[in-house]
Amino acid sequence: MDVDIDLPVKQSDILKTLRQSRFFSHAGESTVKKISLLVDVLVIPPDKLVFEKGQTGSSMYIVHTGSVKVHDNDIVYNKIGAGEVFGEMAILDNDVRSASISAVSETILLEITKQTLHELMRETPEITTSIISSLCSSMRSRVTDISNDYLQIRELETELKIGRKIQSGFLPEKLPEIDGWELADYFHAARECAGDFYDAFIVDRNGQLAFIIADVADKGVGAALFMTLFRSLLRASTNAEKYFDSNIFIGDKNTANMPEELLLRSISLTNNYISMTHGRSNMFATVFFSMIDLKTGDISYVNCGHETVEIIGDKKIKYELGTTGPVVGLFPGAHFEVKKAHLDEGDILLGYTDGVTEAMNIYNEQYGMERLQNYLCNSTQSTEDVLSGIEADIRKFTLGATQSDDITMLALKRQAGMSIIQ
Amino acid sequence: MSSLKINVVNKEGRVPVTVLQLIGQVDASTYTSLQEKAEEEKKEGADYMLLDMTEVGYMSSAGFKAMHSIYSMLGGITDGGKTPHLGLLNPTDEVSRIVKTLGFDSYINIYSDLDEAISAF
Repeated sequence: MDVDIDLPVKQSDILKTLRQSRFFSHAGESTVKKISLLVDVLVIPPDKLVFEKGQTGSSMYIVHTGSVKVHDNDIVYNKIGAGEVFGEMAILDNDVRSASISAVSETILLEITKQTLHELMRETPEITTSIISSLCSSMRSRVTDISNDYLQIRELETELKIGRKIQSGFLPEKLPEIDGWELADYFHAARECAGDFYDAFIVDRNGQLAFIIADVADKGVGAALFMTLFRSLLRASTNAEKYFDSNIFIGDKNTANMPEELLLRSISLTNNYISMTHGRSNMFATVFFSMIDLKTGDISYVNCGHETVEIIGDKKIKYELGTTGPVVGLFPGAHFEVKKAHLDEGDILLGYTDGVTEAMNIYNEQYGMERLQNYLCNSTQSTEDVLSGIEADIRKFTLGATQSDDITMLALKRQAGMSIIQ
Repeated sequence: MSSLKINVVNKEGRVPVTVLQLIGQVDASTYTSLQEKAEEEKKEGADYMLLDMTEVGYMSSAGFKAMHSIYSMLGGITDGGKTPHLGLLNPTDEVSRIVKTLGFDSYINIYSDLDEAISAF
């Protein structure tokens, strides 16, 4: 017989929920009836917080109708429905709540206070047996979940490693070796897959050296996918004729070998292709793309939203090659300008990504441009030594802080006193 | 984890302008909330938006992805110049430097005064 007509639920329904609950599955009928008279009935509106992570626990709950979510701010771990129990751990081990609980829809909860539960456990040993059995069952289920999660993580890690291996094929396997010139690279991804890339190759049309350093927006797999696209478009469009079967020639024969023409062709094609085809992704890259005349040291370059590229010589920063246009991949028909610079004998051209200057130490301070430039002004070594020296200086600065962004550098030196290729 | 709070203020100029006041960092962990808020406002009928950057201390490349998605959602360029639908208000020196380096200032107007910004739409 129903005993409390003021409750939003019938006593018989409370009994039914308690009997179905795993927590009291070993309890006899008289014990369940006793518990049913000790519970409080709570009606929780949608999205209302029942308790918050970190709070001291004073009650456990059984979901009578509706459902609640287990969460930590916006991250939802699980949902709990009718007949299921929550909040028991904090009142059994006297620790704080390990997660927050909020109602998903209007939810009716049966509340059992810590004091009531402890009295029941003292007076009725079968309740204790039931609780231990329930906790063992729950633990077994969680061990199974963790094992399955672990296997899934292992599979994902394997996939990422494969992805990284494939992506590494989009970086130069070997840098060109050129008499009178010295090239060196450094690349260290913050995650398995990276958005930074660099390239160096000889341009078929004019024999100049293409020198590229770039950074695709964001990090991780998405940036890595776009990195392969940006790099392929830049390289293929620069040496386009190589990939045709017949003698197709693109452009005006009088001007098409000029670095200005080739740079604009390549950057514009890449920009327009990505912005027109993949515009909805809002993905872009900052790109420094230059062509170096290996006979004269003359540089033609476009800097599309990238960090300044430095020319270092005579123990100073001789030139900073700043931006000449917007980022690549967002704005169809964007205007890019080709500018000129020059490398004297002994000068170094250094390109890097913002992972260098924005490398953070454990005090949340950035490595910064000033520190990089100070290092460079005191450096007279080979390109390889310069890059490894910068890397060591960054490590010294960051004091073991986790690397937050990809770090990429590419350096070219015009050697002093060497005969230049003819 | 970084956080971003977004307040919405509606202003009336020559046209109604929705001001999104951003407080915090716009980076990989927060940029989707900016995109979603702008989309919500667009669904409610907002055609002109001003991003108040006064209290944005840091904006990563992911933040610029969000900015571009709002720029595109509102119609992008209509006459080959800067968009008439989106503006930035009062970015900090560092954010302003990045906006210019990435070339966004060629497509989006930057203002230093709220009234001037509202009357410019």
